[in-house]
Order: sequence, then C-alpha cells, then structure tokens
Amino acid sequence: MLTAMLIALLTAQADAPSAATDDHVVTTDGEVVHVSQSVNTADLVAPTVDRAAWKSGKRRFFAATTVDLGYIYLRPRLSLGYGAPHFQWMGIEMNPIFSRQGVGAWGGVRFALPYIDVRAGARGFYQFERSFLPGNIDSFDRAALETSGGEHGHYVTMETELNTAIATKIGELSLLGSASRVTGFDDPNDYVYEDTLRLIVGSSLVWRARAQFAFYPIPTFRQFAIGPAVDVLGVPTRDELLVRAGFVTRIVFNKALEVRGSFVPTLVSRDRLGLITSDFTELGLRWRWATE
Amino acid sequence: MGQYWRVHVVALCVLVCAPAVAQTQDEAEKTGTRPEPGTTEPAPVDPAGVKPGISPGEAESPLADTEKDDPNVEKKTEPLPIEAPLLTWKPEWARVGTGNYAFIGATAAVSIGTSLLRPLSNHNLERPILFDEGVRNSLRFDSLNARYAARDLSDVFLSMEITWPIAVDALVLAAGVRRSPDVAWEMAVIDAEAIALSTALQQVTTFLVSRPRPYVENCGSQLSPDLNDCVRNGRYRSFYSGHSSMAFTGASLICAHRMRHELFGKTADIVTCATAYAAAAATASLRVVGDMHNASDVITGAIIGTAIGLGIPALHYRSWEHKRRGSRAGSSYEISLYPTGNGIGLAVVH
Repeated sequence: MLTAMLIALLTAQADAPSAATDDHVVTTDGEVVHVSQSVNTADLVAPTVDRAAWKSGKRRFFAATTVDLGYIYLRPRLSLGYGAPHFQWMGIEMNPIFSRQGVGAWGGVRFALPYIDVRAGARGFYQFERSFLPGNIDSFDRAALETSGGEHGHYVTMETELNTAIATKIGELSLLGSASRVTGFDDPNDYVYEDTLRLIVGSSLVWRARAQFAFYPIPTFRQFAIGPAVDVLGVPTRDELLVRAGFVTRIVFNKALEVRGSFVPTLVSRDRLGLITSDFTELGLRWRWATE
Repeated sequence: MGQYWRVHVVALCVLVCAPAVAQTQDEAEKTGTRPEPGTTEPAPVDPAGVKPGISPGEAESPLADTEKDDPNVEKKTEPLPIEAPLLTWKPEWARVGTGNYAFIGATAAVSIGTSLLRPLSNHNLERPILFDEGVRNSLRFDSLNARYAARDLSDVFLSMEITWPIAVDALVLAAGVRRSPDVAWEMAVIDAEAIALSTALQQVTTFLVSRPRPYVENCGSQLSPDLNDCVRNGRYRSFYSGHSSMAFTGASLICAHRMRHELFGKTADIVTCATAYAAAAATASLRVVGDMHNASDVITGAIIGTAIGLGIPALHYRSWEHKRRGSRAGSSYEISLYPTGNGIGLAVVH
C-alpha cells in the first residue's frame, strides 16, 4: 500500500519542489584530511532549479550517478530506483568513502517525493590513524584527536534524514532534520570522531537541524543562488551542542553540471578541534547522469 | 612554407611519456590547430550562430548546454541577464587534444601512485639549510593546536586556489557570464594539465628527497611519539611543499588566463590576480607557521608552482605562427616545444 502510494506520488507530474540531500563523503588534500558532512550544506541550495531540468524525464526504472569533484576529492554516488532520476524517485543509494583517514561506505533507501525527501541507511567506517577516545574526558583538543595509541576507530552510523524546501520569489528556504545513532564500539564508554558528521560522539544518538535561505541575487537567473546557512548538531550524552554558520552558493549550468560551494565554519563546540569540524573547502563541480 | 624545412625530431609527453604523436604542420593546418599565415585575427562571430573559435561542424565543448539537443527535455535554465562580449580562442593558439587528456591522466596516475609509496629510507636535507632555522623560530606557532589551525587554514586557501581557475574562471566567468563554453573548456583543460603536472612533480620529488618535516626533531620530546604526525609516512615529505607549489600554480593560472582574456573587466582581473598571489603567499607562510615545512621547502614550491602555472598556459597561448614566421628572418635553427592536438612536440626549425 505504501509502495503504491509512493509510486503514485512519483508518477504525478507535481510541480512541487523536491528537497535535496547529499551523500556521505570523506575528502583528502594529500596531507591533512578534510571530512565533509553527511549532507552537504550546499546541496540544499535551490533544489527546484537544479532538479527542474530532470523533471520532464519519463518515470522509469533507472540507474543514476552523481559525482562531486573538487580539490582534492572525488565523490561518486550510485542510485538505483524508479521515478524521475535526480527529481522525484525512490530506490537505493550507495557510495564508497575513501580518504587517508580511513575507508567506509554508505548504503540506504531514499524517497525523493514532492515537498519532502527522506533517506535512511547505514554508514560504516574504519579509521586508519585515529583511535577510540576515552569517554571520561569532557573536552578534546586537536592534539588528543591526532594521537594514536589504541585500537583503530571503527563504527557504524545508522541515519535517517528528512528534507524539505519552500520556494519564494526571492529565494528558497531549505530545512533539514536528521537523527543518527553511532554504534559498533567495542567499549560502549568510548568516544569516536565521526568522520562524516565531523564531531566526537559516544555510542549514542546525534540529532541535527539545519536551515538555510538561498537568495537569487539575479531574479531572472535563478541558477545562481547564495545565502546563509545554520547547522546545529547535538549529542545529548556528551552535552555537546555544535553550531556552524556560514554561507553556501551554487550555479547550475545545465542538467548535468553545476558549481557549488559551502563555507560554514564551526562557531560553537565543547571540543577544540579546529576547522576539521567545519564545512569548508567545498568549492567544486557536480556532475549528474542517469540512464534513459 | 617551402622556404624552409623542419623536422619533428621527437614527439613526446612531458615527464611520463604518455603516447603522443606530434602533428605535422600541414596536418595542423588542415585541422585548424594552426592557421595559414596571416590568419591571426580572432575568429569572427558567425551570424548563423556558430560560436567564435569553433569551425562549422566542429564538436562543441562538453561545457555546452546539454539540454538543447534533447527535445524531450524541458529547458529550465535561463539565460544570464548580462550582456558581455563573447570570448574568442585565437586561431594561432593551440587547442587541447587527446595528448593533453592523456597527459593529465598519466600525471594523475603518477601522483596517486607516488603518494601511496613510503618515501625513500635514505633521507636527504635532514638538517635545516640557509635561513630555515631562523624563519622557523620566528614564524612557528608555539601551541600545537594553533599549528593545527594554521595547517587547516592553509588547506582552505589551497582548495580555493586550485578550484578557482576551473570552477570560477572557466565555468562561471568564461562559460556562464561570457557565454563562451568553447574557450571555457580550453581554459579548464589547461588548468587541469598544470595542476596535474604540479602535483606529480611534487609527489615524485618528495618521494625521492624524503626530507623530514621540521617537527620530526621534536617527536619524543616536545611532541608525543604517538602523535600521528610522528608515525605516519608523511613526516618525510617536507621537500618541497605541495601546498606552496599548488597554491602558486593556481594563482599563476588565474593570472595567466587574465593576461589573454579580460574575464570580468581589467580592474577586477588585476585585483583577482593580485589577491590570488597574496593568498598563495599566505598558504605558503601558514605551512611554516604550522611547522609542516621549512622556508626552503615553501620557497622552492612557490618557484616551481609559479613556473608551471605560467608555463603551461604559455605553451598553449603562444602564437606559434608568429614565432615561425619571425624565425625566418634569422639564419639559425630554432628548437622549440609546442603543444599539438594530441601531445607535445619538439620541433627543430631552420
């Protein structure tokens, strides 16, 4: 029944905007590793514009890819599903995670429906250099994080995300909420640096809320959007409230190619980890493709 | 053309010997890579809609709007409401070709492969040289966390420097604002070529030289021996600085294209170029502040990065026909490297 409803929703030629989510990626610059977020902030910019070009495709079973390229990261993502790829569809998504810090993968289901976009799945990661962190420390600094001396960190993060977008004449409001549970610890009292959420967590729940408003600086050219973003993450068991704020931007060239960037530094956190918890250095290209 | 002879001695690809076959002059003229003498003016805008710099029937760049050829796709993108002159790729400028793509792929493979290797066990330049010690003592942050912050900031600068030439200059300005996807593609591939060469050269050099980073002497004393910095192989990749070389490569690319194309107005272009070099200098300085490199590492990187960032575009933008005709006035031989449609050729001209 639920499936039938979803197919009906996907089959309807709704003009409603689709919310947008992104993948789970780790990036490296060759010497110091940057880790990007589970949902790229920039991905929430103007989803109605970048997805509109994919709207007219007929509903079908498809395979699609989204590849993000920047200096220096390559983020391939594979989607298999039914509907209009990159617009409204349902199916499964998966992507590998490679970095100097470790390896992992994400896999899950996604329902990109009119008005909302829901995703749920799991992300496993094995750290090459970082270890589990002692759970009896209130606040970590970067030196503590960058010190080996124990078992290689590894974890599985179960995650559910809900996105929506509200379009206006001057721009678009995008909202995201997510809940994650980090598991797979050998010692449940330990902490670990979650490379995708980019904060230190225990074997516990992490919630996330983000809002951004992407203005259209040139009203007749809505492919270009830029605006502020606020990202808040909470780890109740650590009494951690991490706040990021900055701006995001995107320019859509055609249905396949766009330039995107996010510059959202961390403003508040109980830990002192520097810029690795921020959403930085995300100026890059995105390329989309799907089977006909 | 019959007044002189020329021999293509070697067709080669720089550094990694990617398969490249130098085009003959005649072949180049047939394909439009090189113009007939006297056709050095920019290609006119074809009123029928052919983009400047593109011959009728020639495939457009991959940056062209992919939607227009698909009648089933509803076109949602809108034209940019800015009237700016189109950019042109002069006929005498060498276009990118298969050889360039092969070169990029080969150098990227070298970079990846070398980065996975442990630097040679025979370390060189183990002690500071020249002014290294004095600069380090003056600039290095005292706090380890502050040094990490400096490193992170240098990463941010580096990412911007490398991404800007392709994402902003080529795609946003050339393809978007100036509506010249053909020129944008040429610029982007030239950028990729320079970045790939810069990366490969730096990776190979650090592997061979295997110089310890400055902080290594503090491992076990001021620094915990368990610190990742003190155990990872990267601690022997000090010479020369990749951040410095790549940042200066990016800054030089930003300036090199602006020397040939007025991308966003003369004043804005000058300011952008100057800012790019300032950011590159900041990137290099932060590597010393973060104790990741000696001054000699970042200065070497800056010199090599600048040379590559200016040199690779110069190979493409060089007016080959002008040089060839000018050489007739002399009586000597001229040996020169030039890019071809599928490689880089070495020509001996008399």
